[in-house]
Amino acid sequence: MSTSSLSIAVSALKAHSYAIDTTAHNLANASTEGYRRERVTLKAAYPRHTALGMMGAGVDAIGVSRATDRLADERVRRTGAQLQAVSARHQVAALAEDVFGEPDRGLTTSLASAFNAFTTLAAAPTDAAARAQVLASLDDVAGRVNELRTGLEGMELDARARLEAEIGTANQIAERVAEINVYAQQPGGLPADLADELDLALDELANRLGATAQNEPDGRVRVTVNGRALVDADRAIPLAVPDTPAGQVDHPTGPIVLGGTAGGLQTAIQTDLGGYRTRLDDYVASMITQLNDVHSDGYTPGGLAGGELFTEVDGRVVVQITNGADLAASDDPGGPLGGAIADRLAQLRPSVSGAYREVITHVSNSVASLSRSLDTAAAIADGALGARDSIVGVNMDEELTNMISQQRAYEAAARVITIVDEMMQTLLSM
Amino acid sequence: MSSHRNAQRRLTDAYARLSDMSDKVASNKNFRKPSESPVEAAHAALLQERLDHLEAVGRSVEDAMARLDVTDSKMQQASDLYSRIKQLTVQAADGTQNAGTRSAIAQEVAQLRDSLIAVANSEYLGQPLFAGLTEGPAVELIAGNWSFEGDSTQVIERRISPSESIRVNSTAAEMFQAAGTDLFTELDNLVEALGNDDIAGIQQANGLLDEFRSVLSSAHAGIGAAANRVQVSLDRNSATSNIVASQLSLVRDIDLAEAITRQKMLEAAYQAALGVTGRTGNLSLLDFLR
Repeated sequence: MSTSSLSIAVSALKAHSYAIDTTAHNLANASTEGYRRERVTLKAAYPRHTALGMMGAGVDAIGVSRATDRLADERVRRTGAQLQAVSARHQVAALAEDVFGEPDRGLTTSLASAFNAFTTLAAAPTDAAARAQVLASLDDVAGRVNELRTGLEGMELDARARLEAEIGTANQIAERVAEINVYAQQPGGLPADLADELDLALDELANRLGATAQNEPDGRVRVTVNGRALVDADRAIPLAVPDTPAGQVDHPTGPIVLGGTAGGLQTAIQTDLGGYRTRLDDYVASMITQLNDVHSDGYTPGGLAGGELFTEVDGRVVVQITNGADLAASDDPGGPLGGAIADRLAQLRPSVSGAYREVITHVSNSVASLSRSLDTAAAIADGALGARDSIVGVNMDEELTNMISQQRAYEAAARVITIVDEMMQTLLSM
Repeated sequence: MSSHRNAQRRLTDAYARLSDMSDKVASNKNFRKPSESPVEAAHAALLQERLDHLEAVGRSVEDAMARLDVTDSKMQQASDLYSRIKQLTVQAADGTQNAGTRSAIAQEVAQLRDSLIAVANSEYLGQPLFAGLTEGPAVELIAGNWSFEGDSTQVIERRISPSESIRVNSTAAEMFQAAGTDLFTELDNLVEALGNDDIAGIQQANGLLDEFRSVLSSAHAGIGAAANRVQVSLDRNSATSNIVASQLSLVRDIDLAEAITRQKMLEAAYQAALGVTGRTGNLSLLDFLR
């Protein structure tokens, strides 16, 4: 009768109380962001040499390991970056659509009333009220165009401010990753809390910039964006946002195309908003030319040649005519009762409204397609997150089940001690 | 944790679909922003534009109608006056009439001439009706000669449909000038011939009157034809308007019965999602452990 049973039982008590501690720790952190479940690794203790040969010597808790899955991480980061990029673009484009304000508060309504006013003027060229109505509706058109332009310009400024904020935050996170890299070289690797923080930081960098991470053999991570280093060994390389051109981000090696939120904002500024603004500008220029050309063919009631209806001053549309009597409705210098020019202006309705409809269709199509992409990207990113969660996250049911088996193992070990004690007493009382 | 995420997503999606449909029912529109349905939105905008154009042209058609009515009645008046002059002239040209009768006829013709001038200078909404695009007067005696304002090139047109416009005026020159002279000069000559008992002069005037008659009649016929076209256009515009409006409604407005049915279905789906989440979300191993 050896006392080794006692030491075996004690090793089991110790090992399982570590395991129960870890399970409790997992349960406590079930809702902690970025926490990954931990496991105590148990191993049979090194056997003893006896006369009978090798005898088991109990159990050793040899370490606590943290659940990781590089593949799942990579998928979460790639799909997350995609989602954030589309989401940033969609946000900007949807706001731009609101700025256009169709179908109820947009330029379309103003154009319709301007052309109604031209038609009325053509039927009543001598009516001062009809002339006043034309002027009021032209003012409304000019005001609406200017509002649209200011609105889109303001959106671009907002998007640039957001881009700068994103880059600023991303630079800080990259600094932190570089700091963590210093600890990663120490023997034993990173403590679990730092490892959690690193994984969270890498998620963030993926979401914000579309960055990808590679693990180096020495335990450090190398972070790159589009092939260019963001964190290299213990050094973070900061990105910068220059004042012009809008939407550009500079890496020390030159302008860089990003992914994630920042990349989405870059595309939103350069492609989406830039495209809407170009289309609107082209449209406004052509509308002004068409109306001015016809109006300057006409004559005012006083027999003077009609001048320009609109001009552009510093990117703002201004109505040139302030007095109804300066509207040239007639095509005959000696015919104040004529309305032929007003009628020609009114007949521009299909071409002028149609061209604006094309602008709106372009904007709404781009929002609609972004909105579909957003749905798809969200579903994919959600799937990737769910898959990673099920691998590295805390599952309550699993932890509780583990706890039961660990508790039973602990009870069993305690029972062994009792039995050894009884055996001792039996022996001693002989 | 992932089952929570799924449950949340399920609920958010179901709620988003329900609230979207409720918005549609409340606003009675298939889309509130063009991006919800770009093709339909563009189509609706096009139809709306056509409808606006038709409505705006409606005002022009009304003006054309009123203007042609007034013009027609003035021309009828001129025609009646003209017939009386013709009748008196024929009577005066008869060799059996004496100088006294002719002088009385001269007075009446002079009065009829003044009435014709008044007709030629008549106005519509404060503007001369027969002076072309000018502010008139259409007929005026300047330095002993009758002078006309406005000629056949001074056309007043009114739009009677989005694609069509017609002339709605006639000028005094077109109504009263013929054979290198004009009605009023010849009436002056006639009055003078009547006063002088100049049978040859009266007969010459009588011959010219027929030419003036045909000029006036053809101007009158032109106005009548225009009035007919306007009436046809008016009917066609209102028919087109109805068609476009119903197309627009088809594209833009929701089918209420279908929408409400769908809304009820989505409501049921949302309730089901809530119920399922309520049950599965509560499941925990803790309930089954001692």
